[in-house]
Amino acid sequence: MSLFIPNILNILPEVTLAVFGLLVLGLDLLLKNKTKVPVAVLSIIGFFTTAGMVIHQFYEPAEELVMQETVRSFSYIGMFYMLFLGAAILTVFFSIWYLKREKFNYGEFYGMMMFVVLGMFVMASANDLLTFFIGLELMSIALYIIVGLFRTRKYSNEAAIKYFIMGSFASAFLLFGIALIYGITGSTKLNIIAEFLGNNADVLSSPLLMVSVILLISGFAFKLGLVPFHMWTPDVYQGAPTTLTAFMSVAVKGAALCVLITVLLSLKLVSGSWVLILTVLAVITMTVGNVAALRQKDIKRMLAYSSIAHAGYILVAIVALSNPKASMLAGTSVLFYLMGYLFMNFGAFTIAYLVAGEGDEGYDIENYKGLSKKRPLLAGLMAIFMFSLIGIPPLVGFMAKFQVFYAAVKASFITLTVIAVLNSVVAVYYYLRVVVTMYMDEPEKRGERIISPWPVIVMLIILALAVILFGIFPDRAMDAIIYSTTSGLYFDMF
Amino acid sequence: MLSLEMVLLLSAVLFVIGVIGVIIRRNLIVILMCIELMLNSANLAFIAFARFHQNLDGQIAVFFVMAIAAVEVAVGLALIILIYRNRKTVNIDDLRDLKG
Repeated sequence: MSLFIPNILNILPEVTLAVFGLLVLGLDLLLKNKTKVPVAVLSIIGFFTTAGMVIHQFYEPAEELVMQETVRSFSYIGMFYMLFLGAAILTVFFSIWYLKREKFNYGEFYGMMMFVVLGMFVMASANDLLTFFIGLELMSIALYIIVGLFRTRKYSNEAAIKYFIMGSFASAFLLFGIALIYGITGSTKLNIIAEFLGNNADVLSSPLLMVSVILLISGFAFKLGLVPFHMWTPDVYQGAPTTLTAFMSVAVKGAALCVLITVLLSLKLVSGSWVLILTVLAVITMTVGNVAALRQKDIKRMLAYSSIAHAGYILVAIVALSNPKASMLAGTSVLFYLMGYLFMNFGAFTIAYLVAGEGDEGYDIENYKGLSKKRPLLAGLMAIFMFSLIGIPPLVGFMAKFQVFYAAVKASFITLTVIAVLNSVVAVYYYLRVVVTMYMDEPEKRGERIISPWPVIVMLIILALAVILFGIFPDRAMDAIIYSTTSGLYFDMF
Repeated sequence: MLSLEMVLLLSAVLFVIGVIGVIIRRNLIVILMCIELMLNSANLAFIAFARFHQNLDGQIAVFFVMAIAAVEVAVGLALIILIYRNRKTVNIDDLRDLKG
């Protein structure tokens, strides 16, 4: 017992989240009336308390491996934690009005959100592949439930079952890969695996390891929505509740990326032919995502394809990890990219749900005709988010792309960088089409009035300001991220 | 006495049967069963390797995976019932409303 008590303090953020998650579910049962605002407020309080714990825990982690070496404690992972919490707080905040408007005001949504984030924490900080798998399943299963939240709607059902089948299919691939790696190295702990592979270099080229790594990478590619494992992404993103779509495109991908970085580094995969495979994945992911987004008429589907393309850009940074000269820079750029993407994507998806109107059906880009005349403020904010997604300076989208491409050039992947830049030129077309529709076209008919509650508008303005300010003054955010990459020597561990 | 290779071969065969089943079968419940088959083939590999390495990590992993598989089935069947209530079908080919 005396062994266990100090250990539990090492996973204080996770414990806090779990306690608050149960409290939120309990409070929801106690509330008889229709309003779910207290439930949402309690979950936001829970997220902020957890954020405090994360800062306390990760500013200067005392130990690197805790809880019988199953959990890794690094400031770099702490930054990912903050990203997940930021995304979760925004999701819960915007969902208060969204779920109320759609009359699916279930308190379970907020409880499940807390468990999704808990699952992300567990998987992002796992040092044991089994711990990672349990965290992944905790996240995924809670997500399957809330993707199908609109339970009487066909779209939501279909998205949930497709996500469930593809997600558990991918999980089975990952699990079989983990089983094979356990077979080769005799352990599921990443530090022991790294040590074993360091001592037995001949194992690196054995066919069994190849098979297990292919299984692992395809599992991750499913979760990240990389081409050719992306078929589920547009369907699920279109059918899921819109606030949750924004969350999935940023935080779920962030969690999978954090683990991907750890696994690639500890399995010594950032060398030789694996770099080629990752490069090819990055190129086809960017290209297919951008080209498919060109012909979408539904804004949610368009943003879904564009999120595939963005995953491709981030993969460029992952490829750059292979060069030790640029690995620190690449690690920094992944976090900065995700942070910028968080602001602009939540903005875009929130405006999409406001414009869609009651009943959640107006996601067609045609609906944006003349929005600048009907709702100039909303149109202006949407234009900022779209310009940032394109990557136009001085917005944060430009800085994020710049960081990633800089890391890739520093790691001397010139061709890959050129392809990535050309891809972001293709992306200009479909983002600008939204802006053009808003500003150049006349409003067709007096459609439904767009109801926009003032707190949502205030939050959107804050997001737009963040997009502009982090684009012009990226140094504050960069300093924090660089501090997290350099302290604790995350990238030197392997 | 079974050799490690034989057990691994069996688990690989089971895994491939599961993958093929998920891809070619159209009934949601059969697809769910095939996913369970894939998870259980991984369990078999874990047990075989645990015996080979003479350590318990693999056997403990199996218990966790079994628990996770049970949770997955619970959520999966709930979703399938939901689909059946709304559409009166559990055939995956009938789920074609989302497309662009």
